[in-house]
Amino acid sequence: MSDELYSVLALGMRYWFIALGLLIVIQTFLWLYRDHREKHRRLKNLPDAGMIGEFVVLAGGGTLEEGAVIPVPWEGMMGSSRMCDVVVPSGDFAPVHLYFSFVRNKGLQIEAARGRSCYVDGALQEYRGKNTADGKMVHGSILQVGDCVLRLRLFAGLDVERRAKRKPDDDLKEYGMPVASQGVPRPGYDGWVDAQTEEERFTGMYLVKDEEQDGNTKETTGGSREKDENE
Amino acid sequence: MKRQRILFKCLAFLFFGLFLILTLYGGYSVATYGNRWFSSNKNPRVRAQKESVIAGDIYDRNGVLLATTDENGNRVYQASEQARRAVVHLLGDSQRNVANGVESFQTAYLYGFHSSFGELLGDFFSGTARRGDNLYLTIDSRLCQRMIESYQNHSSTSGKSGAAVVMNYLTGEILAEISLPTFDPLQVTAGVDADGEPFWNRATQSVYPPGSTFKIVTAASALKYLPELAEEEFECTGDLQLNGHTIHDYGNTVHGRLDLKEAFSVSCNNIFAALAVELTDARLRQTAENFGFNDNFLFKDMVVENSRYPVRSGRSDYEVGASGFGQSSIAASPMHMCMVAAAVGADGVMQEPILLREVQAPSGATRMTWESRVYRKAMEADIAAVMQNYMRYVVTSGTGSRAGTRSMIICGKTGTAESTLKGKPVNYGWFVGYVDDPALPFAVSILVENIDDGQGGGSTAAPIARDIFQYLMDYPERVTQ
Amino acid sequence: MSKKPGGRLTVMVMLFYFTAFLLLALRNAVWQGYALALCVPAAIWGGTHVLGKCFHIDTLLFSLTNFLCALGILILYDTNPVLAYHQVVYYGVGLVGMVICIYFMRAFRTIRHLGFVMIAVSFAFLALPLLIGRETYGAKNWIYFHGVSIQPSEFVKILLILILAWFMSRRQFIPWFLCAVGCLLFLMLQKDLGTALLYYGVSLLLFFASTANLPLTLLGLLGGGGAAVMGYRMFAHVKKRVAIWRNPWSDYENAGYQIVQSLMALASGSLLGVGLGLGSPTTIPVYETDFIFSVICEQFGLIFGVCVLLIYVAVIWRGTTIAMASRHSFQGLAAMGATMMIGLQTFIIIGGVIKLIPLTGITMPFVSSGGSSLVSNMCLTGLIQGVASLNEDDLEEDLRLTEM
Repeated sequence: MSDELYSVLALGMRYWFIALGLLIVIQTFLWLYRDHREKHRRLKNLPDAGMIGEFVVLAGGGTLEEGAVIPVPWEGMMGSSRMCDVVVPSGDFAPVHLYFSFVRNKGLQIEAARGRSCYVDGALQEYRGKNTADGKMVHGSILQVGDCVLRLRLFAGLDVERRAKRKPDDDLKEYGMPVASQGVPRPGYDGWVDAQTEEERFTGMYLVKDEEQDGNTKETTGGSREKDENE
Repeated sequence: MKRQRILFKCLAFLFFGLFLILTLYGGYSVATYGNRWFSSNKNPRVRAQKESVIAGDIYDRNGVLLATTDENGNRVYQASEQARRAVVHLLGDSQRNVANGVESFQTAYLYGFHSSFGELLGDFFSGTARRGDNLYLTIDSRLCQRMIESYQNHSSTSGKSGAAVVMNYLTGEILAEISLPTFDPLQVTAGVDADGEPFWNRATQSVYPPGSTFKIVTAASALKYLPELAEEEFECTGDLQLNGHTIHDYGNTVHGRLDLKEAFSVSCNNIFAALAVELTDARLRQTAENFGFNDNFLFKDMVVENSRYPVRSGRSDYEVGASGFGQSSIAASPMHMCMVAAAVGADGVMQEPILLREVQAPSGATRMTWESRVYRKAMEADIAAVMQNYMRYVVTSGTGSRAGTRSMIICGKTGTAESTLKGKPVNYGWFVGYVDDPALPFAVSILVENIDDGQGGGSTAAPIARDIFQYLMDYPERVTQ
Repeated sequence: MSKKPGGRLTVMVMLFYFTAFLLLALRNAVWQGYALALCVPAAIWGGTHVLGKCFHIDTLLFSLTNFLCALGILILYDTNPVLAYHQVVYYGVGLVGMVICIYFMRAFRTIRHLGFVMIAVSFAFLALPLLIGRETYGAKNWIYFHGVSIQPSEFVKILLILILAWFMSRRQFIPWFLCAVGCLLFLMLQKDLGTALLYYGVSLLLFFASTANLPLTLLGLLGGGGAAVMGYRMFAHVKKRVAIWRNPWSDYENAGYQIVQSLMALASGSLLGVGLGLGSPTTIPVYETDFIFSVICEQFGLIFGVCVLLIYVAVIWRGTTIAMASRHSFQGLAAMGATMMIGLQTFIIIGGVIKLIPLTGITMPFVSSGGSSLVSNMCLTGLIQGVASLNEDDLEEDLRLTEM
């Protein structure tokens, strides 16, 4: 092909290429915009999406309303600042108090921020300190910071087979934590206990067995069911 | 995670901002500097295009053909050698010895880079050779010739180097631009070396100390910042002391009691030095910058070397005083000084110099017509009115008398600048001025290099100005349409 | 994500390249041109549909990546056809690398202590050129291996992102900091200052993203500025680069030649360009790697150049969206790190080409010729795609959970 003919052709094609280039850019941004809208639309009706469970406020220490429910995502920070994923509007919490991360089949891993501490199921968690427990929360675990007491409720399907290691009720009372049962002495137990019944699995609390009571033939449930643990 | 998400969004916006900066900077650079980069001699693309496109013709404002390409592909200029030598610095030559002449600077038009696609198609199918666009300049080539002759005719300037510019102060059109020494472009093409440094366009590419012509700026500054001085009288004792140096006037004259207007017209260095010190460096520099000093000239039609006013802080009183009469590291090109005079004539508004009147496609269609562009407002109209008065006085009763003619109202300012070149002292003679006539709104700037002892701007440059004004009066139809 | 916009975009990109390669084939009149005119659009279509079905990749990102890579091949075919054929091969390798990275990303969670392994590997990679490398263009960061030249620092990029993300998500400051400092030192020794700048920038930005500690970030920025000033004093060629940046015409013949030619190319392209296959792109030195953007602007014009920039902006936007949608901070940081790496690299090189900042000698992602550059950038997109596919899985799981 002659040079001249080619130059004319190439010069004419300039407009074509620029037009196509612009069209491609416009299509790209339209696509981006449409995805954005669709994502918003889809998740608008599912406010629970991306959450693994909730923290229920058992004791608020004045500023928290008892019975309030705070949703918990898979991973993030917890504190009183609004930038946190789990915002606890209480003075006992530092702006960023804890980092949490849910590990499948293991539970919600709690790590304290620098200079902060908390109690998970009665065990002290400090910033990289000698943590007496491994800081994993499961369905029914209690988190205590100062006067605030929060109970974790995991959504069904995210359950964990293991149950929390809990101190005996007397010790729990000492910390001012609510006890699972009223008045029935319970042998202190250590170690991991497998959930025996559906109910235990569901509530996260063990049931006092007939055999374990001294002379008490009644079977008492270890605590209230999911819906009404507010005291 | 929420915090992380928010930060990610911030970072994304940071990147969007960075890319926006890229786009804006790229667009701005190419828009302002694009033509300069393209016309640079180092551009190999032009060489390639030259093979296939016949360069367009260049005409002056009266239709005189200044440059064209003949059948053999050679560039041909005007028939008379005088004529060629007069416009060669403006036009440039095909060897690109002259930097930024019209032939180089307007390569894009001349070699058809601006042809539309339709025209290309038409040329291709009709089989005609491609031609570039034709340029119509604002200059009058005969005025250029007259100016060269004028330098040669006067004994005080004959054989000397220099430069001169004539400009329409209402529109910004350049009527003439010459530089001496000059050369014949055809003789260079034929391989003969011209001597001296003839390729340099002294009108736009060289800067010189403006000398007393800078007093226009000093006076404007005084009128703005020390307005009460306009009525006062000063005492010139001929021996003002600053930092141990004595300020002398021309010929060591002592002027005695003068007001500002008289001091301006006799060009008293003592008074202007004192004025500059009282103004302070900062204010004088501010006024100079209003006039375009220290600015990066980015004119669309031509490349002009930037003018300088020193920006150091802590200059001594002597340096500031010397700045008052245009010495002490101040430098400006003849083109810029013409714009300064033009600003006075145009009531304070400085127009951008225009060189291209019209660009025509080979088919005859107009591709571009000129329009005047304001460069900046150098001073307020009321100050300009006072300056007009002063500059008139210079010609009627001051150092510029040899520039005046009986039939025109000429206003101006002379200047004699001292400098050293390679260790030896050298003096420059200046005259800048304009015609106060709405029918002939022209400003001129004349520079003569290396004037003899005992000569000044008034004796060397002013007579050339008179010749120019005479021409303008005799042939108004050639310079106004 | 509806398929329709994807279809339209792919068709437009295919059309673009079909006509572009056809035009060039008409000029060159060799069979390879026509072959490319058919193969490139087919590969684009095939890649999008086949890979899209297999892996859950992000179609938009993949389309944009393809567009840019094909643009690179187009320009190379225009100026130096041999390089174009090599580039096609590298693209294939890049695709494989991308898939490997997608799998790598998905498998990451199950591997522990990987962080330290990666640090060791990256140091080894970086040390190699010092030991067995050869010096080109004043920087000693290339290895020649059976006729193919590799730039290890390009691959360490990927490892660096992963290391940074891994340790930052665990809030362990020391390991990644030491690693970053180590990498920078290695690069300084190799005198590859452009890549050092890139690593430093990305590390700083990721640090800010993971800790939100603005004062420390600004301190880091100042520290970087101080190091740059020190580098200016210590290295002679840095001084020269900065001097050329301010006034390239001062040393036109030698040091300033590159940038001057680039500027002239930009100017002659003006808005609409001079036409594909026309102009003189080969007069620009290093036109195939660093200055390929000037070639694009010369032939296609500034408008198209801005379009290319907007495509990069879309890539960054998409990468950020994917990073924001991720469930765990490690994935988010990895995706964001990869995105910022691509974005910062683009900014640095285009800034150098239009004389906004001094030239640094790094390449333009996806478009520049060069195996290491193309493959490593494809791997970075592989990281982002991996995170996107994880997001898809997580989203499905979330939806399933909420419905229970």
